[in-house]
Amino acid sequence: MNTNPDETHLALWLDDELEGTELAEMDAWAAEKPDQLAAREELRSFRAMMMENVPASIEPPFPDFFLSRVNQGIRDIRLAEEKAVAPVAAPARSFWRSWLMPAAACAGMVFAFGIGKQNREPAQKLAVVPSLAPAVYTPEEGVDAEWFSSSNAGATVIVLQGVSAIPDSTDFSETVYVPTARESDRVADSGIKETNQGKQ
Amino acid sequence: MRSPFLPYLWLAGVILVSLLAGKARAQEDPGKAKIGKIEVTVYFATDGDPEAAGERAEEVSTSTRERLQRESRLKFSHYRALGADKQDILRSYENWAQPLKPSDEILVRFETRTQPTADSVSLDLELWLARKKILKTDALLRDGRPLFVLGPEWRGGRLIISVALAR
Repeated sequence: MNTNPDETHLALWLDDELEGTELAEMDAWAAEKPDQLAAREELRSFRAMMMENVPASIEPPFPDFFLSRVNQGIRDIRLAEEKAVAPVAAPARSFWRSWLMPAAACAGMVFAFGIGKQNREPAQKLAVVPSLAPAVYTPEEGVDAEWFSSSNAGATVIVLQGVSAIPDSTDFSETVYVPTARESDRVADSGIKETNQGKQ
Repeated sequence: MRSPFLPYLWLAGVILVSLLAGKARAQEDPGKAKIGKIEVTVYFATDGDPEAAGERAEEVSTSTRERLQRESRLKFSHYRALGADKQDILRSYENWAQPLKPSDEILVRFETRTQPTADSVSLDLELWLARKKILKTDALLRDGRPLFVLGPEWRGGRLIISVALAR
């Protein structure tokens, strides 16, 4: 194998998952790379240690993903060491894959977003704009509701007609949470204060 | 002697912890984010004896009384605060206010229609009386401008349900 293997093949080789021609090619590639051979041996030792200490009947959590992340960590450490020794020796292909391709993808997404934004109908609304007069619906038969905006009270008002009275026997004083005077008046007071401030 | 693969075990541990943390984050529902608050207050309004509301019901302040009395349809001689409940407005879910808790005689169901601004929110709002949906509306609540619903009769007066933005 004259060229460097991709990450998938390298991970499979480190995990002893390759067979046949692919294994032979990887072995040939790694024959001159003692660090890769050492990494594989280290992983084999790690797997052997895990098999000795973890009962066979209990699977370690996410074994495939777990080992692949360990392999990735090993490769990252090695890559960092190589860069520290020869920072300008990074191959052009690696640069293209790691930086230029994601950058090109991002640029493409931004371009597509811009095109879509320009082609959108000018009158299209992004958010629901509530009307000033709300829809009022009374599902109970015989109940009507009248909506109006009260400038005097500084509030929106809905008057219900035809709704059944609450029996006088219903005693809220036994169950109700009674707010303090400050709490109970805060809702109505706040609007008055702000209205007065606005007039001043 | 220090094990040669000890750093990798540390790395594996860190990865495992980050995976568990990521899973926990994924289980948090962003739709339950609190994007505002509303306060529902129930007033008893009457031209008769305000003591009918009970001894624990509190008289409202002068400013509240004057504000309500400025609107002819809400004008009564006496007002008493029966209860209040402040609840969060959730990003994607409905919520309920129970101003007379633990009684469920009056309930307000609400759900946001749009992203609230600093001083307003548009809500789908329902008023439930005696476990029946009586009113459904799309209310635009502004800061300092509540929604008053003149509701059912009770003990010679009417109940006024106030729905307002809260802090």
